[in-house]
Amino acid sequence: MQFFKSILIPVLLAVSTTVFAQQKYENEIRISRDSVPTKALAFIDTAPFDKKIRWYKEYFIDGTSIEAKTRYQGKRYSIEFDPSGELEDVEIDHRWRHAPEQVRLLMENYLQERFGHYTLDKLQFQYTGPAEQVFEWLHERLSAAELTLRYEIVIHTKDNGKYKRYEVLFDAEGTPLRSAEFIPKNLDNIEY
Amino acid sequence: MNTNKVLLLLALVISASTYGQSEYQFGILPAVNLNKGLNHGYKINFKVESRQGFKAGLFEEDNPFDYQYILTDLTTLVAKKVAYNKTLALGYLFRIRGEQIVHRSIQQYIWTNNLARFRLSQRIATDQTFTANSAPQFRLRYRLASQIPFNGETVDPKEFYLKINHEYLNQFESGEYDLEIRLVPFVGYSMTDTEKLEFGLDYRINSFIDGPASHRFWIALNYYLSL
Repeated sequence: MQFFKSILIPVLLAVSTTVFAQQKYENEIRISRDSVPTKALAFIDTAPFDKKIRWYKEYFIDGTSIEAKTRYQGKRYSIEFDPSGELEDVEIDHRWRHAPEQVRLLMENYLQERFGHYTLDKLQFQYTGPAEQVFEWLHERLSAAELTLRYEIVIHTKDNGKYKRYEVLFDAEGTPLRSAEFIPKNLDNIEY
Repeated sequence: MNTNKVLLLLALVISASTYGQSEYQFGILPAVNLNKGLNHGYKINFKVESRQGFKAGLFEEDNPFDYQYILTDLTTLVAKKVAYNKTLALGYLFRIRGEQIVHRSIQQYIWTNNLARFRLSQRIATDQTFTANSAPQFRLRYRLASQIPFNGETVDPKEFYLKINHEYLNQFESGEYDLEIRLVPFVGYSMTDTEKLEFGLDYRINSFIDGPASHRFWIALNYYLSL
């Protein structure tokens, strides 16, 4: 394991120099069903969700997306679509211990090597695949193994003397794919 | 319904305390709040707040409108981030109340939580107030502040939000204890990420432990600017 770590961590860190250049600014507004693309509406309306669906339009630095948020089987679900209504992914909030132990160790090692001390804020399992397959999986007629699984993690840490928040995306094996530093929101009005 | 009845109704809704012989004060409380980030995680906060009264007296009286300038507070806080969501702040308040000058030293510890649909900030603070010819006053305060966007999950530019402050102030002066409770609902508007405007009612009640309560209602208008 030590040999494995000694080889793998430098490789992951080398990868990180290219993936750690982005910034993420999230700005989302609640939208009504009327503003949702027909294709996205059709997907959600026929999915097995049984709780209220909240629709959002998210603005990023380089584009927009449409997102449906709901709770299903006790978990928070975010179903993201592109502006035309094509399914992008399904994200489900999970506790850290729900990630497979081997992958969790790799991700922890990577995060520790990259950031030193960090605190985990959020873990989401991100499923992608053809919309028909994702639809079948939601209806439990297809195994999750047929889809592409990634882990999206939000952490906060102290980096070069500044407190920062990062989103890091790992593949199913625990290899970092990309990451971005959040542009922080101003909270002066609830602090002072 | 006249202003007295509206205020009495508000006091009854907000508090179950006795209102017989209770006194009230009603006015405005505009404030300008400037924040400037400094190096090494430090921040400086400067606040100017002015209190102006419109009506005062007992609820059962029919008190006429009587404009009265009451005081101006000038507060400077130096804050240091001690963790991602935790801040320590030390400061000084200079109060001009007619001929009277009040000095107050302030210590605060603030921690903020990013919850799924809103932001929550908690503050524990102590302050010491010194005035000529008066005994010093010491306070231990706890405040819970929440910011709930009307649209989406975070407050973004050009969006409205609801902010609710709830605070308990334990006051000690010359061996006497008093508790003040504040409830401050605001409607805010985020003009940009660094500029916010808030409008609301700052309700304060104290002296209710062993006597008729004292109610204060301030129409509050806050302007926040981060430089």
